[in-house]
Amino acid sequence: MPMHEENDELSDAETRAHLSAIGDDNEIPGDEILYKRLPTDEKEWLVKDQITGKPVRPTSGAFVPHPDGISVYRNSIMASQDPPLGPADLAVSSTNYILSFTAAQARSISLGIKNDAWPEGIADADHPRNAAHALIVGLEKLGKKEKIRRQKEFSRLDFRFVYP
Amino acid sequence: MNLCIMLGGGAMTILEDRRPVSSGATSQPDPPPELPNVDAARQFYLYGADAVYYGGSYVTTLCAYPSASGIGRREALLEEAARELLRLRKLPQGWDGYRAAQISKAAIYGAGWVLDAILAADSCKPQVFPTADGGVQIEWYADGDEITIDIDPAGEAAVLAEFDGETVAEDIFDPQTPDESILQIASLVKEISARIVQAKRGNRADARGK
Repeated sequence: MPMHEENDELSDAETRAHLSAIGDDNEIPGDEILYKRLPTDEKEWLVKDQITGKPVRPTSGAFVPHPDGISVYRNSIMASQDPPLGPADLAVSSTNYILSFTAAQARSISLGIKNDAWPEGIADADHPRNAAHALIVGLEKLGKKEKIRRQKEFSRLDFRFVYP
Repeated sequence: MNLCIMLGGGAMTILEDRRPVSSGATSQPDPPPELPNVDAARQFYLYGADAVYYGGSYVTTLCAYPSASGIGRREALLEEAARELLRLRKLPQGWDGYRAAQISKAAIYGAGWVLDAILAADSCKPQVFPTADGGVQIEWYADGDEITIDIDPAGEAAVLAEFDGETVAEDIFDPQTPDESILQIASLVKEISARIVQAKRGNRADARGK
C-alpha cells in the first residue's frame, strides 16, 4: 500500500477517534443540515468589511460555545414534525438570521454533533422546534488560543443564510 | 478622557464636563472656534467632505463614526465604543434565544481598557460583539485582513490577527497591564486602519474616474 494512502487511513482513524472522544454522534449523517440562529439583528453577529461596508461572514464570536456546546437544530427532525417546521420557526425575533451548514462541514474542522432534544432552562422550552435541538461539541474544552482559532475556522465555513 | 471612566456608573459623556453655572444658564459657553490655517485647508482639499476639523487640522473620517464638531476624534471613537459596550451590558440573560450569559462587568471593563490603550485618532471604528459566554469580542476586518480581540467573562483578553493570510499576532494578555502585546495590537490597528482609508480613497478615485 502506498505510504500516502496509509497516512490518509491513519488520519481518518484518528479523526474518527477524536470525534468519538469529544462526543460526536456518528449516527447523525454528514449530509444532515444544521441550523444556527444569529440573534437580535445584523449588528450583533455579522462582521462587515470596513472597506466595502458589506457583511462578509458571522463573527467568530457567534461560535463561542455555551458550557455544553453550540446550540443548533437538525433539519431532518424539524421536517418530520407535524406540521413540518422550517428555518422561520427557529427565529425568536423578526430581526434574527438563520444560517445553515452540514454535519460534515462541522466535522471537517474536527467538531462533533450530538443530539440534545428538549433542552431545559430556556425560553419557549416546549416549542416543537426543541425536539430537533442538537449541540456542536469540541470547542468548549479547548484552551483559549486554540478555541479562538477554531471559532475563526468555524466562522469561515461556507454557510447559507436561509432566513429571512 | 479614559473610556473606563465613561463606563463607570452609567454613560458619562464628554458633555458632562459642561455643567450649568447658574439657574439662568444651561451650560458653560463653548470656546470660540479655532480657525483653519493654510495647512489645514490643504488637508481639507485632500480629504474633501471626508474630513472634520479639530485641534487645528482636518482629519479624514473615511473610517470613522460621524463625530460631533469640537470633540477630538479619539474621544468620539471612545464615546461610541462606550455606548456600544453599555448596550451589550444591558442584554438580558438568554439574549441568543438559548442560554447566553449576561455580558459580565469584567468583560466590559476589559474591553474598555483594551480600547483605551489601542485606539488612536486615526483608528478605524472597532466592531464590537457580545459572546454567548458573557464576554466581548472586538474586530477589525478589511479585505481578508482581520484583528480579533476576545475578552472573556473574567476579563482576560486574547488576540488573533491575520494579515495577508499569515498570523501576525496570537497572544493572551491582561487588559489592565499595558505590555508588548498591547503595543503590537495598537500598531496592527494603525496598520489596518491605514489600509482601510487607503482602499476607500482608491475606490472613491476609481468611482470618480468612471
